[in-house]
Amino acid sequence: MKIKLTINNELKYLHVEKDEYLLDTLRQNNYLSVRRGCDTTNCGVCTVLLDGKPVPSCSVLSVVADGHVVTTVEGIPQEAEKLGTYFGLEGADQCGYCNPSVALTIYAMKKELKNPTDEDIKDYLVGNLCRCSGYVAQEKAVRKYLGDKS
Amino acid sequence: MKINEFYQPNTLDDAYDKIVENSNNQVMGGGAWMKLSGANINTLIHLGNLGLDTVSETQDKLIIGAMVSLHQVESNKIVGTIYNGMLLKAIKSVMGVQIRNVATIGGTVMGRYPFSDVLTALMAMKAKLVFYKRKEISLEDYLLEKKPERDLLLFVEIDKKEARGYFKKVSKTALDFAILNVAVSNENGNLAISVGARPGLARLCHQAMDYLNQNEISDEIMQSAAGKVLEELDFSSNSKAGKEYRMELAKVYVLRGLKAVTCHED
Repeated sequence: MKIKLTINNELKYLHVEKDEYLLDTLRQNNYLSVRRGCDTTNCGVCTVLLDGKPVPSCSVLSVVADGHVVTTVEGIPQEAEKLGTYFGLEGADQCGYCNPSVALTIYAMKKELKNPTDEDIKDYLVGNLCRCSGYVAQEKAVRKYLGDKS
Repeated sequence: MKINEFYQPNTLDDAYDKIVENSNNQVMGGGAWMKLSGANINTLIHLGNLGLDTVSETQDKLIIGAMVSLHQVESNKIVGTIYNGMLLKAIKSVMGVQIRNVATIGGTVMGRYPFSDVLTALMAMKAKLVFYKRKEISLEDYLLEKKPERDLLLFVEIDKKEARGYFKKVSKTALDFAILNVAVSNENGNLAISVGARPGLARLCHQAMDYLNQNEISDEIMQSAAGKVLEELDFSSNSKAGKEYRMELAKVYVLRGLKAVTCHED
């Protein structure tokens, strides 16, 4: 099937199988910041934004995304850089495998929630697992990022 | 999983015809758990063009379209206020925001997932389902059907009643499926208890509910009612937990739920 996706503000026409998932479509088209983890919606490492909302790309059929807007971390370069800086400063960045997905989820949270509490932040990020840095440093980095009005 | 055809109907008639055309045609809600099935699907029917993705309300009802995502439901201000936000708590216990942006209320109901936290809460809220052909049916009746007839779910309706609610999910980790979930509601003295993930599908505990509603509420009556829940429902073991552990959890959390909604807190 031929589908139309706007990926990082660029219109793409792609051929996909009917049972192909967005994760595979994106990786086959060299969006390699979108990573494969559990492949069963548990770990969040394959997160992309679909029409601005974080979704697990391993569980969204590409045909269902037809006509929609997909954002990977390359689509939010300034915000990703800012977040990366705070993650580095707080020591919340070891292997970096989950960082693109975490950055996208935090970016979506910033857009969706006004003045989130610590509980709101934890709740929003619970679907992004990190297996090396841990979450305390991440939480500090997120707080600093949300407070950065530059 | 294998999908032979993908179809997006533009009318309800068209969608219904496609559903009943072939028993291997399957409607997808959000598709959140579809990957876990090894099904060979003749035609996958996506309801994205039917306008079923909004939440509306009347004076006494909240009407949730079948294609409304769980995250849309939890973002609705009314959901946080009815039954002490019981449904909100149940939805928030479903993994992360990513999956809740994909999973829909219709997919949750039609999937009839035994582990579902949302179904347990909806049961205690006496939710109703509106189908295209069958029209209105209670969620409880639908879940009791062994093999429901093929139909198109349009809406899930919840009464906006003055009621208290309690919901508890027990799981090994935040992202895991429930070992057990319990929902208790109190609508003007009319108590309802729902228990799911036993590991069977959510059920209302009618004997315990009748006992409670026929007696003046006291600690002893509530303890007896929690005991009746164990007699009335089937519990069993699976890889997540043993039967005896589940029964112990049910006894404790049903009692806590009853105390919470009747203001008999310890």
